[in-house]
Amino acid sequence: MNLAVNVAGITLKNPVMPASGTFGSGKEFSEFLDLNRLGAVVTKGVASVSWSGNPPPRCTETASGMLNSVGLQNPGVESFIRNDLEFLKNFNTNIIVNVCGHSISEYIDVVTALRDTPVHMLELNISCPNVAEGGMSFGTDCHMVEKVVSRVKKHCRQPLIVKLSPNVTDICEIAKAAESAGADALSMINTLLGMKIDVKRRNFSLAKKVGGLSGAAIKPIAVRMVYQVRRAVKLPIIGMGGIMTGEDAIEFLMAGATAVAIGTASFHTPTACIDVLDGIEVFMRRYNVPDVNDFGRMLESN
Amino acid sequence: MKMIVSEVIANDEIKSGFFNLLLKLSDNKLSDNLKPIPGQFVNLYFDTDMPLPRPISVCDFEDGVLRLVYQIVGKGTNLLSMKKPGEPLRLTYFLGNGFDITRAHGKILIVGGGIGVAPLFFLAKMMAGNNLEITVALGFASSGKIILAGEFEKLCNTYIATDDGSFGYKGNILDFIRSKNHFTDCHFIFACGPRPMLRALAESTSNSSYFKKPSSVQLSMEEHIACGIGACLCCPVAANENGNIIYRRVCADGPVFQADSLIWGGAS
Ligand SMILES: Cc1cc2nc3c(=O)[nH]c(=O)nc-3n(C[C@H](O)[C@H](O)[C@H](O)COP(=O)(O)OP(=O)(O)OC[C@H]3O[C@@H](n4cnc5c(N)ncnc54)[C@H](O)[C@@H]3O)c2cc1C
Ligand SMILES: Cc1cc2nc3c(=O)[nH]c(=O)nc-3n(C[C@H](O)[C@H](O)[C@H](O)COP(=O)(O)O)c2cc1C
Ligand code: FES
Repeated sequence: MNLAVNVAGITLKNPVMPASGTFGSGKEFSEFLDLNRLGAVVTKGVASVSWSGNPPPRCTETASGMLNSVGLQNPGVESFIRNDLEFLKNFNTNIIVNVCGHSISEYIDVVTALRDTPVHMLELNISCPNVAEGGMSFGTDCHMVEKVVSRVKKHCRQPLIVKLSPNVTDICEIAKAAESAGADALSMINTLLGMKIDVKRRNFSLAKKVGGLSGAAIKPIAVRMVYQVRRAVKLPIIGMGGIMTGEDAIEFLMAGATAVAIGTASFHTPTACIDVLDGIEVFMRRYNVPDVNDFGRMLESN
Repeated sequence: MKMIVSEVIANDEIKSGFFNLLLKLSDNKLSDNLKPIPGQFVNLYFDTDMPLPRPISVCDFEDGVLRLVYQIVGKGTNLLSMKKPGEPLRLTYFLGNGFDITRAHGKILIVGGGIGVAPLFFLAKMMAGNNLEITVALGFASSGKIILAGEFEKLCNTYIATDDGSFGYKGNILDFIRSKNHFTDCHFIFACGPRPMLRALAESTSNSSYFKKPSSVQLSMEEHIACGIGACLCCPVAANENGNIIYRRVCADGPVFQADSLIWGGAS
């Protein structure tokens, strides 16, 4: 049985990895699961300098999901290299660093600082607030995506994954812009913008008022978008959004993802990444699927 | 940190809306370093339609049996109240940084408000009998919401206040404390309860309006959590670090913080 997949020239021993921001840099979760078993570890967003993040409350539960407005709190790339990478490099897995910035030059500072480190891939989080454009996300405009990806790509030593925001009119247009700008892979989807109001307190549930929706509630949207983007571009896709079980993951693989990421599920079960991996294996054994890459060719009326 | 499926031994309503839950941590090979520290908590997990765990403090722990006391406030705690003896309940334990009682000496004051008294019971129990002069001051909305008072009384000197005066002192617990001279020279203060209570306590210990400088004031804080194990940064508390505001994690850096490290902001 083959579980290995290839994403932009990097071999992952299996297609399962945590989704950025839900797994820290793996240290806490390593008390519950063996990081060596993961196809990759994807870190939280890392910026050129420390970001303090948004005021609390930063999260709230919703029907089969949650909203978060962490605001990319992180200690900055230097501290990340000194502490988080120092920890992660001891494991036999691929390290993918999620890169954030308020401007193109901040993104470049991060990927430059990571050039000579044991990082295997970079994931560009283009859902960050673009300071020059009044805080609007980089990822919602094709020209902006093309500009940020092409400029950052020139400074990358590792393959560059571009993480797509679903908060757009046509995600295929954004995917094409990323592809033509030189992205090596895509990951999708980031959270959907949402809001919750606490009617008893007569207030917003999150201090920021709005936050990103994730969890099982968003899975049908994510699967649909992966399927559409699969047909629009050639790049390998890391699919995510509401994966809770092995069968959920297989849905993404059938829709056209090469690998999958597990986010909110890790909050519900700290061993979720491994449970999903085990679930994929059980499915493959039960239904006689010799190679995990076969799922992408299985949809009958493709 | 560890995850297990525990077994419900008992789940009884002790006052209207308040429950006493006993859980057998089926893993009976609990080594010493897996014993809880007062102030630590567990995450309780439900079905996937409720993806986030519910954090509940250790109220007591003995012979592999964990005691939790909780109040029904919403969906999760309501579901919890329907658990029957023998049913499984998945949890992760023991989480967070508890109260630091290693240096506790002299006159000690434990201040609790509402459901916040639950973790303080384990704290009082671990400190009682160590030649410490411990006083417990607990505030509740009304006599119908008083919990654990009788058990605290068996351990140490206990005072009760109710907002409506239906039992004990009439008023909030800080007014009660300030009405006595006895507590001004407390060395160690430990507290858990509603944010306005903790804030008022922090302020009256820092500006010496009532308390002379105690050596340590430790407050157990509450914030919504997502992972509950320190990874996601969803549970921040504003703290002061060398003059800069930084966000620290309730679930991993806390829930217990030194009062003088906290920043309270505008609204409480
Ligand atoms: C460290 C810590 C220890 C706690 N110890 C206890 C305890 O010993 N006994 C007890 O009764 N309660 C305790 N709480 C509060 C308890 O976690 C909440 O009452 C509970 O999560 C509410 O869940 P719900 O589904 O019933 O409410 P809902 O309002 O339906 O919950 C919706 C969401 O908001 C979160 N939430 C709601 N209220 C709170 C709150 N006050 N604090 C944190 N998250 C909240 C829930 O976890 C859930 O994610 C503690 C909280 C923390 C942070
Ligand atoms: C608390 C939290 C923090 C997140 N932080 C980041 C981040 O730093 N960078 C990023 O690209 N995506 C971040 N995400 C988005 C996730 O990586 C993922 O795209 C999204 O949650 C959908 O997957 P899920 O439904 O499995 O959680 C975050 C999500 C959550 C819930
Ligand atoms: S809830 Fe995730 S860090 Fe505290």
